[in-house]
Amino acid sequence: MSFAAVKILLVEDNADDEALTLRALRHHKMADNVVVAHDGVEALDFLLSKEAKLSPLPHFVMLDLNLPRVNGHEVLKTLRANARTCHLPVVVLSSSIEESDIQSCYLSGANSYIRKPVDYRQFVDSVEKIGEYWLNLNQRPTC
Amino acid sequence: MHLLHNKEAPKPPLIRRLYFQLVMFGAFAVAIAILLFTWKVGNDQLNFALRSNQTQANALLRNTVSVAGNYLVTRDFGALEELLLQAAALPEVKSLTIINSLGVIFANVERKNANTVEPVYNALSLKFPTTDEESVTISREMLQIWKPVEKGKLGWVRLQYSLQNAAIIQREIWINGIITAVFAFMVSILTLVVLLKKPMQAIGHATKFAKGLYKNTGKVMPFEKSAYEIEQLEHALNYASHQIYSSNKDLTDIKLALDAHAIVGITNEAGQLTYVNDKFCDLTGYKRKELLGKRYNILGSGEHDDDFFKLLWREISSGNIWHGEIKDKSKDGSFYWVETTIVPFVNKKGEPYQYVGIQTDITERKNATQELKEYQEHLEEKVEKRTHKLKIANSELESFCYSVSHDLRAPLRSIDGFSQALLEDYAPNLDEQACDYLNRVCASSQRMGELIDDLLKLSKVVRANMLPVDVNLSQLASRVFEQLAEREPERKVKFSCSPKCIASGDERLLLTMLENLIGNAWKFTARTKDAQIEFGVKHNERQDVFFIRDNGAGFDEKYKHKMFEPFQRLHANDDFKGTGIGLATVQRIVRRHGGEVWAETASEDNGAIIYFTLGG
Repeated sequence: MSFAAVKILLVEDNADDEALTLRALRHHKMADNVVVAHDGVEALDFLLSKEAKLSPLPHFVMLDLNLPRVNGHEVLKTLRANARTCHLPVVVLSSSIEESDIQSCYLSGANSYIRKPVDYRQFVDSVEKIGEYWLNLNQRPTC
Repeated sequence: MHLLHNKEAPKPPLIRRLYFQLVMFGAFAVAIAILLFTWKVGNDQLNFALRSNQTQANALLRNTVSVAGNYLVTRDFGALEELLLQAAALPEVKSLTIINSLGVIFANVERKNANTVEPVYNALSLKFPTTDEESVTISREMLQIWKPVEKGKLGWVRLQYSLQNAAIIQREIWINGIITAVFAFMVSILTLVVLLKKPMQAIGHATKFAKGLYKNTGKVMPFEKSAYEIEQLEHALNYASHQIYSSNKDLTDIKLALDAHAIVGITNEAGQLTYVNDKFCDLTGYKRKELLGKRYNILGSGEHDDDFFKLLWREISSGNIWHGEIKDKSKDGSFYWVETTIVPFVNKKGEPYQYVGIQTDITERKNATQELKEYQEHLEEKVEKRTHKLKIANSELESFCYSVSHDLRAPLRSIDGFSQALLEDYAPNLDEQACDYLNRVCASSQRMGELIDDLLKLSKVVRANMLPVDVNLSQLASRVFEQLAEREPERKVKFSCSPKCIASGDERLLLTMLENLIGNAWKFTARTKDAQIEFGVKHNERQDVFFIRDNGAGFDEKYKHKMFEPFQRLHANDDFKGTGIGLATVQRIVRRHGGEVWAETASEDNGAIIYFTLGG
């Protein structure tokens, strides 16, 4: 795992989705400094382990909900409960449009909820907008 | 039975005595009246006789004295004696005596028998009155008069005059009177005995009849020709008998009816049973003699507490009627319920002297109620179980939908995504046909994505919680139309809407329904010149029928029945895009509201009219 200035943490267990997401990021020249965690444990390790505390936080997290071991909701809650990560922007990417999922994500502290569309062109547009917003437009706490 | 007994019984003594008294009184009254009359007549006759005797005696004496004076002076004893003999010819004269002033008897004659008067000289002198006045002495049989001659200077004449004839008259009157009285007495007795017999018998009968009335009510007394008054009495008694009979009959009939229907028990003021009917015995299982004299709590079941009976007693002992349900225990230990009314019978002071309990066996009803209650509880349990099952089914459905949305969409995304990647990254290496194939793959996956989304929407409609409120459909419809018009401002569609179409329902679901209906109308009028959409309501006697009408492409009546099935489309996708889930969604929403939806072809322009009702 690289300790260079990571800008985006992508938490995604599905290899296809990972590939397509990375391709979309690449399409918009935002694929550098992206770290992929394949489940909740990896994601939390990356953000909250002793070594991780030495390096700065990513600009934001793209979080899938349906994850093995520790799911997206639990990751969110753990991040929000931790002083280091309580302000870290988290964008939930999910195929669910269940009202209950959306609500519980916001309750757990998600900053945004984006639905993964079936149409890949739409998804590429969405990824561009997300990156543009959270990397360039959004102001975040420095520490 | 009682009647026979009465017939054999001796005549009531009262009537015999009265009969005897009346007869004796009547007879004595007649006899005494006759005797009184006799006494009066006797006395009158005696007085009359006395008076006439006295007058006769005086007249005789006066004549004798007037003649005797000369002979006294001359002392002619023979003349005196002759004078006296002549004067004593009257048969009533007993004796005549002449004395001189010194009392020496000059002449004396006495009657020997009815026809003979003789001179008698038994004594020389006589005592005479010392006065010179005439003196009269009357005894029962004799009148004696001393009459002075020349004021006693010459001498005295004494007349003894018999009064026997008057006494005889009186005696005869008395004898006749007594005989008459005795005779009248006897005749009276006989007459009265005969005359009074019939009335007395009638009174006797009436008395007997009246005495027996309480036992033999309704009896009619045979008339006896006696006296008018007695007949009246008989009439009165018969009337009373009839009255008593009819009121007694009513009472008896009521009691019969009561006994036939109800369980009847009577207690005295102390609560001891004094009467129980057959039903009472049947229900309790006790024999009558086992119950009489016992207190009612012999039947106590232990169901009711002391307060229950305290209240009951307080109520009935103050003269009020009590009504309620009591659980009792019969002799064999089984329990029964009786609906009970207790009526206190009060005396003139208003104090109850007995309590009449009228009961109805309601054990079956009670048991049925209990069973029903148990059944209801059971039913609740059943409903709970069902609800639980339904909840499980619902949560299964939800998790199914969840996995549909996640698990089915993920591969689709991959198919579409990588196909796009191929098209973009390897376009130079692909011929036109390969690109076309890949585009078709993409289109199909996207369409499948839409289908999955619509399926999810449909399931949401079925699963959503209903929150019924009054919803202004007109307002919702206008809003939906405005949104559509905003999205496609280039289209010119005329929208008309009846104001204030109000219905009760879930606002969110009804909005979804209108979105689908007006959305359809919007869609199918895309190629129509002067497109029109109308939302309105028709009132029939049962309910409001709402409708959405358009003048769009309409539909083939042949497939009308398929319109509301999911994924059924009546138009090719090239003509009008869609997944065929809209009307299925509408139908589910309408059905969840207890209403109905159907489609018709508008007659004038072949457009579609979708009607719907929303139940209550």
